[in-house]
Amino acid sequence: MYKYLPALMLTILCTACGAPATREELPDAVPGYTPDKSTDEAGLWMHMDLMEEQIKTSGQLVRDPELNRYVRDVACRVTGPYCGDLRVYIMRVPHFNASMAPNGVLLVWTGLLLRATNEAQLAYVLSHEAGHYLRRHSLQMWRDTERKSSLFTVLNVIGATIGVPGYAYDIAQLSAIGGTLKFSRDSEREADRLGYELSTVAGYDPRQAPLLWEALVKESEADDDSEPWIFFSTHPHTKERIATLSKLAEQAARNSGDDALGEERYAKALAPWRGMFLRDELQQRRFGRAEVLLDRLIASGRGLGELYYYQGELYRLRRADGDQEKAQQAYRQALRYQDAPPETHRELGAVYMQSGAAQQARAAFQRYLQLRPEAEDREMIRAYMEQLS
Amino acid sequence: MRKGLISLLVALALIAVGCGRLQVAGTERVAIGRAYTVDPQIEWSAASQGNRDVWTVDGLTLQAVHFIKGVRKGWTLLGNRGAQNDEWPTFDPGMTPHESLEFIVASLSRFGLANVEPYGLRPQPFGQAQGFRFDFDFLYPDGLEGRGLAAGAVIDDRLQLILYVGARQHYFPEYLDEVEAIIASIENGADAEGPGNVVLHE
Repeated sequence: MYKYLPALMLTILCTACGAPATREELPDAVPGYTPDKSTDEAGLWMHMDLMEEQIKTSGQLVRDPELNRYVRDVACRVTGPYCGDLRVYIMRVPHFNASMAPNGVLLVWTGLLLRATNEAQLAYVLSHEAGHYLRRHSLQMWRDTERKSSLFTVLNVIGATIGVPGYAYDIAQLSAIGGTLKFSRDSEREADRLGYELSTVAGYDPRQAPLLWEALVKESEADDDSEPWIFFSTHPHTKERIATLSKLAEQAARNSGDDALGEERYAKALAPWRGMFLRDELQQRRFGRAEVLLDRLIASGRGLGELYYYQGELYRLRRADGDQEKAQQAYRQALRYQDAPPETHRELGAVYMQSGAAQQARAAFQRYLQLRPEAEDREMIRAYMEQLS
Repeated sequence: MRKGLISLLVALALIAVGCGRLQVAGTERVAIGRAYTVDPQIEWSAASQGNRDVWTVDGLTLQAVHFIKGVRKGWTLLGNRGAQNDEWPTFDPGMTPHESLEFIVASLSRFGLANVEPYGLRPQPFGQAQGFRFDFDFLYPDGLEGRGLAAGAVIDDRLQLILYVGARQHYFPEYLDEVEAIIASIENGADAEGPGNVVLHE
């Protein structure tokens, strides 16, 4: 019995964590706000400051100045006078999530950047997170959970510190930044409404929020994991919620500005990165959701050469019945577009090689080497060609 | 997933315990499973766990040579962990060297290395077998820069693999020449002992 005691205690504690919280109403954060050092809020900030230091040296941190500047600019556009209080960190994690810590740390995961198809969708998610910050929801939850169980804080610190060793993406640790505490439904509704208001006031098309939510639901339905999105585990996604946002959006759409989608800017900012994000996504081997995602991105009509190439990669990696043919079709489709990566020829060559089409394989490999004469794998490609001759 | 993670942690703990007291002599050839033998060049601390032998001088977190002994069809890099979880990449003997590289890189990423960037995939003999070799950069989860190399071959439908990883500064280059010499010393099909029976000397 005693050997199960720790597990039992954890179960009881976690059950308590998940229970709906009683909210303590607090005044909104004001621009430049920092808590008095004698308060529990200062303790919470100190805890988050320590985790921020870990984030700064994390292997997952995307340090590219251009991409960071772009995401920060979007965050600033929706948060206005609070911009100076935000510190944006882009984390190379191929899952959809963003989170906001009470000390102003805004984490944006690359899986979110991959899935948003325009600036308005990104702006809505950042606005939602900013809503939690403005309403100081983390402090509300911190106090509530402390009341429920003093041990929770210990558990929280432990969970935040140890993360998930041995797993590629330290999701537990990243989630702990502002996200460990499950916000109440009231807080979520409030953040939804604030997110909607902030992004709409900033001139973005409010109809993009429910579109993004619906797309995520479709990916979820295609995924084997019953709860694939960490974001949804702390932000319940109900049909009612989507319907409410849709209704609000329709009412406000007429007020949005001329550049309400920011589609061009978003595509330009993400162009150097989308290939890497797609590669990371496929490395997760969650092919059901990746297939839905790629279909949606292809339907958006931008960067089709690159997208069809990664669709081919999906089929090649999945190795289900008929996937080799599908991969071949996707690679050939990619090559109809100027932006198909030269690697498309290499992979097409590999498919031909494995199917015994030696002549076509040689031609494809030859084309790859013509386009990438300094390819780092050229010796291996030449070895394939020798085998084929 | 959780069960696999616990197994990995247990494996690492066993290896850590083992490394404190076991050594591989530098003057005798060492059998790596049944597939091949190598000349260890120097004395290494070593341990064996599952389908893997691990050697180090300064400690596993600083540098380590992993001998992955025969990954079979449908297996993950460290055994058959993937049988119950599609998210772990599994090996297929029909893979091209490029696909073997992807299999290895995806596996390393799932084991906790971040931003694994491979380069320089090329043919390289693995003893008498035709094999492949590539190098890679990566980040440890805390942001420390690491380097690695992988040399492997598919022998009797099983992937035989040597992975050398370490901190980019000092520890990886410190024994790189010895590891290169170990790879060059591979002799296939020698009268090696069974899987897991590394020749160890107290």
